[in-house]
Amino acid sequence: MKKSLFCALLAAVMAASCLSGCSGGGEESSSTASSSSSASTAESSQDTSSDAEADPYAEHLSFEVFSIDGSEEMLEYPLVAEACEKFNMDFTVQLVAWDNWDDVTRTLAATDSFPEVIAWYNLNYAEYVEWAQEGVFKAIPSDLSAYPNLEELTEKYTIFDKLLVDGELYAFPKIKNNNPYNEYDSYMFAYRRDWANAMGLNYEPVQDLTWDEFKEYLYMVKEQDPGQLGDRLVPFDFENGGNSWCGFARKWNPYISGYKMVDGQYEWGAPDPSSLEAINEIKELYDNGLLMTDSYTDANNAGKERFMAGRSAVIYSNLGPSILQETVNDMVTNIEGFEEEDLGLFTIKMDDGKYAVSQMDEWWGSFAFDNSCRDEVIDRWLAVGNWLLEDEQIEKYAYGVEGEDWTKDADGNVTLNYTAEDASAGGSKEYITNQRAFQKFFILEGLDIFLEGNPNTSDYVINDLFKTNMERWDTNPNYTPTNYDINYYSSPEKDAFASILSGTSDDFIQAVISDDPEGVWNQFIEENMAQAEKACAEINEVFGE
Amino acid sequence: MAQNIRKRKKIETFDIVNVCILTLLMFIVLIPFYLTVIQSFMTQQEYIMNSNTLWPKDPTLGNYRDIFVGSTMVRSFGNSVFYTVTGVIFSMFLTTTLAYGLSRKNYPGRAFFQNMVIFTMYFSGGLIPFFLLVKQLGLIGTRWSIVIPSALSIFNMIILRNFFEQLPPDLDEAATLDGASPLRIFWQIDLPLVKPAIATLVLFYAVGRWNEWFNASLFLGNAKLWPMQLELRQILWSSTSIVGNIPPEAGRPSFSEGIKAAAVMVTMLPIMLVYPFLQRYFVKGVMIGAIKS
Repeated sequence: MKKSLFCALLAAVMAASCLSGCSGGGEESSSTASSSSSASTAESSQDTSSDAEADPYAEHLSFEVFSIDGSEEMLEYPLVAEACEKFNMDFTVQLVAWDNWDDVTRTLAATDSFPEVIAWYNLNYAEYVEWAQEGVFKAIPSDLSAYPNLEELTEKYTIFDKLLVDGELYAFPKIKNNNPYNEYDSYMFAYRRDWANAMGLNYEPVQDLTWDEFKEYLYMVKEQDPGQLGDRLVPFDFENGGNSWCGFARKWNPYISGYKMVDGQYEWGAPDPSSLEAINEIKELYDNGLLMTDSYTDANNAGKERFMAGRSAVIYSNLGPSILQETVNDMVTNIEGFEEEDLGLFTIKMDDGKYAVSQMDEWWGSFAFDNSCRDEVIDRWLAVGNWLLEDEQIEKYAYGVEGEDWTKDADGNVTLNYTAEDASAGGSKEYITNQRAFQKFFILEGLDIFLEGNPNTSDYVINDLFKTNMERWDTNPNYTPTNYDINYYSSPEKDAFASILSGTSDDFIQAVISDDPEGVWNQFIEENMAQAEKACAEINEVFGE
Repeated sequence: MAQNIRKRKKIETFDIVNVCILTLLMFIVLIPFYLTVIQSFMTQQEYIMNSNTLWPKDPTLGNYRDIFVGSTMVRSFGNSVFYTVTGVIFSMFLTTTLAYGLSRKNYPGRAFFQNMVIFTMYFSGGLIPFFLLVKQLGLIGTRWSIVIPSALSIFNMIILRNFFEQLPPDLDEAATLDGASPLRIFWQIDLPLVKPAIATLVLFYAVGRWNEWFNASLFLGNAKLWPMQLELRQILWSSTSIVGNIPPEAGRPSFSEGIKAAAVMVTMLPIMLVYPFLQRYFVKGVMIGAIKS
């Protein structure tokens, strides 16, 4: 009997300990996914309606933002503090770890647990549509005339129309302001101009070559080894090694991992003979030691790091203006005697005499509002986004506090009062770097890079390299636009085929490194053709002519 | 006598092969570990130019500095210690009490409760019901969301229950005749006898708690409460993202491979330091648990 009582006692203690843990949660629940403050604020909003006419920001708003960026110190950063004061608000960040973003986002969506504002980073289109239709989000107002800078973006970029669900926009895409000159993406060839000079080639900062001339150049680099690196020399690198090969193959077949229109009907792009041409061209480079032997396993920008460390003569990589500037800075720091003008770009004409270019990625991620989000919060958030797009604010997040961190003379030249070390992590001015997370809630990158007189960018990099490259491509482009209609179309067989399309890169690598590239590639085509035809049939039902 | 000693010391072919294989295995385990240690002290430039080196020419603490810059790592280290210590204590409390209860033959409804408990080991509700449960309990965003929901490992409980079941019932009877209460029998007689099993489970729970990151990423939106593992993942992300996150004026991005290696060392060392103190119990505990007599 005593033992039975003892067991019951233990069970009671267990239950009590669980309950005590539950009650303890109340203290810290402000950082939870719930949006409990909405009700009380909604009540008070009626009382302040007359004030609102005089001051649209009379009512103080507190809300929570779901984001991959941000910290508890965020509200103290000058730009954020100014925004909070101007718009009479404050917010807390519900932080999510970057590599668990999808799991957490899906869990919160499925359990209706999002906070009011979602700074969405990896927008999966199919999920976005599904959740928008299920009512997870509240639609963004269709009339954005009160926020002219945001409205301008919606008119300038094609992606906004593609994200409409039943005529409503539920997520505002974060634009990448990478290329103001045309619509081309920024995957470019960068080369060691100092090595070209060492080989007696007086190349221009942006040197024009044909594909065959380019290959000859690589052979010359391998033979002459201008950097005297011996076995460590890599004549040609891709930012992610083999994992970038399939993307590079788009210079021969732009539709290698997608669908192409033939006689009014969509077909799987990979079987086109140009795919094999691309495989053979890359295989030639690989077999002749112009690519690093093990680079087909590269990840995390390993190839780019080799180039920046001084091992590679040429890199094919995403070199948008901010990245290009950063790459140059990095190489000047890393490589002894390296100067800014020692980096150049190649523009390569393919066999048709044209520059093979694709449409740039306009955006990545977005911000959205939970279905429980108050209208006042939506308005306030959009107002902040609009304000951040003003030149004055762009300067603040680029340089810091005006007068204290930087000054501008009558000619518009900006002088920074801090060093790079000050602005890096742990430095006295690290907020200049960190407050960019706030701007990234709205626009992803690139707003400050083209600011006039920006001391963080050089005329050589932005104009002599980037702009010249883009303008030359514009003279004779073989342009492939992004087919958003097909990319965002969802149907059972097409969705099932999506994993095969995304796996094309693996089969491409297999073909390049095998002794029988044609056999390996044809096997890949044969194995998947049946599924491809089912997917194409669904696509053609809707988009076929 | 001397002949016997010589006989015992005779080295056979089997021993030589055995030593060779074990030495090879030791190197297979140690070399990646060694290379990780080396990498954590290398600069990016040296790693890329001479990645196969066995000793860095210019060792640097820069990768460790990048991890510990600011207060977040120290804070998250403290959080991890809290989750580990609190979690292990709470888990061991639940495990020992439940295991002891279920090991008592005269516990009313023993089979029913035992089956109910074991059922949860084979079938879980899935992520969404789990999240909803934690949300409804009001634990989201609190430290207790890391400690309570995954406090009890049924597998560990079964191991301990088997230990308790192996204890002779005569012990309890003798103690009862001497006037000991059930609580005293549990605390002063039975629990000390399963010390090896308890040490083993403490290590299991401690390693699990120390490495915990998923529940934290799901339930903790406030980075102040994050454990070290989650903070390290975030640091690794910062070090590998070179697009748009680090402005040109901030200088070159961190050496991501070096930071990864440093992160591995920082993560491993604390729990490795605990292991020697529990090792003698650990081996014994695992062995006893493996055989039920």
